[in-house]
Amino acid sequence: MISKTKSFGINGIEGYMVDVEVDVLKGLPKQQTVGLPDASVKESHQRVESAIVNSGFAYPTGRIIVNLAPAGTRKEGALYDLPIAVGILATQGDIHSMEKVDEFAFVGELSLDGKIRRVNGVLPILLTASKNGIKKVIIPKDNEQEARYVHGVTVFVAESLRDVVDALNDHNKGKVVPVKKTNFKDVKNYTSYPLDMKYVKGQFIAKRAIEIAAAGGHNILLIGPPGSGKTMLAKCFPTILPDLTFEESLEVSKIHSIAGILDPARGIIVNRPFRTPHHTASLVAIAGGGKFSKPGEISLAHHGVLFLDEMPEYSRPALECLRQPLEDNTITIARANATVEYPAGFTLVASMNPCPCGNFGSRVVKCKCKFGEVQKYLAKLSGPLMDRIDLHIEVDNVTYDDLSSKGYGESSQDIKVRVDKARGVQLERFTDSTNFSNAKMTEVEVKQFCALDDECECVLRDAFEKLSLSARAYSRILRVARTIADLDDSPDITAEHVTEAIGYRELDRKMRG
Amino acid sequence: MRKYSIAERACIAISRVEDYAERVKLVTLLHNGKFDKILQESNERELDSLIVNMHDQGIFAITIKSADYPERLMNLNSPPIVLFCRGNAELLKQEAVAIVGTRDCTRYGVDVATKFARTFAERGIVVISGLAAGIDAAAHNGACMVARKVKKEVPNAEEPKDERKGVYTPKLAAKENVVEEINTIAVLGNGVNYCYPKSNQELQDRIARGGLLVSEYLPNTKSNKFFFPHRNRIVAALAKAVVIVEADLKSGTMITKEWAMDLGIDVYAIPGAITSYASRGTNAIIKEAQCCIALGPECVLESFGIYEKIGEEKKIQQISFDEKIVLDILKSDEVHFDEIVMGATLPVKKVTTLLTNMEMSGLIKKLAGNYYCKS
Repeated sequence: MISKTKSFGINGIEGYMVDVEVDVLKGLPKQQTVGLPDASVKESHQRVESAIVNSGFAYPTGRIIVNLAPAGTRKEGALYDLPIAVGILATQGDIHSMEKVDEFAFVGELSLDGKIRRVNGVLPILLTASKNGIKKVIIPKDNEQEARYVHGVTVFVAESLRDVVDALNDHNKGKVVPVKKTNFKDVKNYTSYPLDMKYVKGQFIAKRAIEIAAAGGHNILLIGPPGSGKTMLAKCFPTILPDLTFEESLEVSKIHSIAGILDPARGIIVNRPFRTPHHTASLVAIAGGGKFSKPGEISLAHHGVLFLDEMPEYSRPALECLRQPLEDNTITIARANATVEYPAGFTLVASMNPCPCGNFGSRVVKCKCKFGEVQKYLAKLSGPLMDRIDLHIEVDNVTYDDLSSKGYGESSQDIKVRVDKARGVQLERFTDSTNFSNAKMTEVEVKQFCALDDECECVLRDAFEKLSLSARAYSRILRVARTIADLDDSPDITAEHVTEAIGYRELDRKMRG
Repeated sequence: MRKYSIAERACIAISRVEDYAERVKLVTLLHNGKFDKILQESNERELDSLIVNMHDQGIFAITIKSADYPERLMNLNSPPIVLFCRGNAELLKQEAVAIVGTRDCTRYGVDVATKFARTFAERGIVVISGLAAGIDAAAHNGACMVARKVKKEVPNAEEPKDERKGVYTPKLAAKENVVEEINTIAVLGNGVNYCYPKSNQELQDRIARGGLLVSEYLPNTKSNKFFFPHRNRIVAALAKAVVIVEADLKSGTMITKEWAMDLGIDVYAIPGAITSYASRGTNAIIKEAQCCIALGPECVLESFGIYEKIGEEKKIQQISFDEKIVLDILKSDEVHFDEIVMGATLPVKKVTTLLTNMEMSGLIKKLAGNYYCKS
């Protein structure tokens, strides 16, 4: 007899339906899995056999064939343990009603004693279920939190294989219970960050630049000697970003769910992600991919901040791979056997020392670098990458007086109000566009929304001549000027906005003294 | 193509000899007028190809036996046998001042060197330096600032001929009728085909076109640390006065000073802050009264018989109220952005705009580390 249970697979960050067909044929005992299973799926037979026996059922003798349809896509992970076990039990009549099995979809890893273990990617799976009209899904108890925010599907949590079988046979149903739904608005208040802008002393220009970056989604580079507070500033960056909307939150949670790093107690991500890969990170760690394709750091930073501390120290390939995502907001990873696409719409916050010894320009410690070493160090960052960073500013040592002064600056909450407002203006501007921030404007949009009057043109021309700015700064300056105007609530860009934007192009100056 | 006499060819032949003892022998022969003997000992075919190559690269040799060899160099006890040059040889005939100093300089040094060089070049005095990083580069840059644009008939350059088919032959650049004339000579410690440090490449190219590059080493010689002190004697000997902008106690600049004093050339030193490492050498020679103090370019100009008062150019500019506040805060110090914000009690965005504007109008300068100063 053949049984058929429903389960799910994951490709990129989207799930798809997988039918798990089980057939027990006559012949010598042997288990086979077909449908491009990877190692963890092939191994599931051993777990399933033990779990079935230890749950008090008989394991069929004969040739067991498991087919994972569609047969053409790779299946990864241990989540097929539960559907396979249910399928086997259904073929030998331990589960009485096939119709009942058909009502549900199953996801879960089995342990040898029949308990059901947590799996990765439950959130995208449930979203797929609700999209495909599946009414009931059984998931591991440990994944309960992830199910709270998915509507349109009834999710049951189970602790063991025995409980699942009992529930399907309609007795002792109390063990498999539907998950209570939670409203997103209620969890939103959990948003909390350990840092606040008000603790950042001095650094006026850096704070202002960060506000602009947050308001327009601009990438920003902080240049400064060690201990000048670059990291602290960067860590404060998410605190002034607008709150995640429900859709954004789901998207972020989906990625984290697939990567298996979702907090089991929370189930959904409400804080903007802040990812800080170490500079030894490999290309695959940053971009994603690998043997079991996993989202990389840039995807985990989706809708949030990717912070690269000491940017020139990263390997060249790892840095260059940021170029496409910075432009398209997604990364497409093509390998011989699969092509996956992960979202990667992050804001890049990078920091670096101004020179190899770190103290160039500092008035506290003298720079020991030779002439030319400084330029060489800055040249480590390639032109195309620098083209995508709108703001570069210098951050510098805070003197003791600054540190010990009592007064606090503006709090993150106050700055956020202004940022939210500027974002609102942009949402209205880009209603017809795929883009949603000033930083990601196309050249056509720049022409349309950043029209300059004669005075501004004059200022820009002056700046290029007198400050010897490089040509590539031009459209970056316009984008930043647009954001500054938005923060100012001004429909047109004025000369003042342009001048301020020019002030944040530190590295474009050819002569630095 | 420059024609070389037998005597000149003999000089170039000597410059190809690396062995010191051999060279001394040949120089003695040269002074005794035995040019044939020198040429016999050298490989004449290689010598010819060197001369042709040099011509192709726009390099020419001025030898100790040439008519246009600068006489001032004869004062040296070991004058260079050959000067390989690229650029405008006329500059060697003009009066010159050397501006030298440390590579590890400060902003003060760069400012002074640039200003001095600019003033001299403006008055038709050639600025000589060693095209090293730091003060040397600043001096050359200062001279470049007052480059004259001269319309010149450029002789028809020969079209590059390449008989092979399908080979891409780059077209010659459009004939430039406007040529720069820069009053500066760079004496290199390596062949004129090389550039050290690399950061000076752009400057060296510019000087090669409008000024003059001079080196006593064969064009393809790479730099060597022993060459630099040696070339300093040429820097000193070519000049009528030497200005030392910044130097540490033991440095190549001090070697230049020694050479200049031996030759009886006026030496001027720029005083610096007593706390500054870069000014220890200059302050020391001022203390020992080995040189004159240059308090401005006009002091040095006296050596050239030019007596004039060089006042600061008064810039007549409309200054807004806010700009006045910032200028008052800056006074003579380097001030940090945060201090300007606190001092001026203006909003941050206003200050950013204001400072960028002032920088563009040349009132202030932005320094590394978010510091600002008056320009």
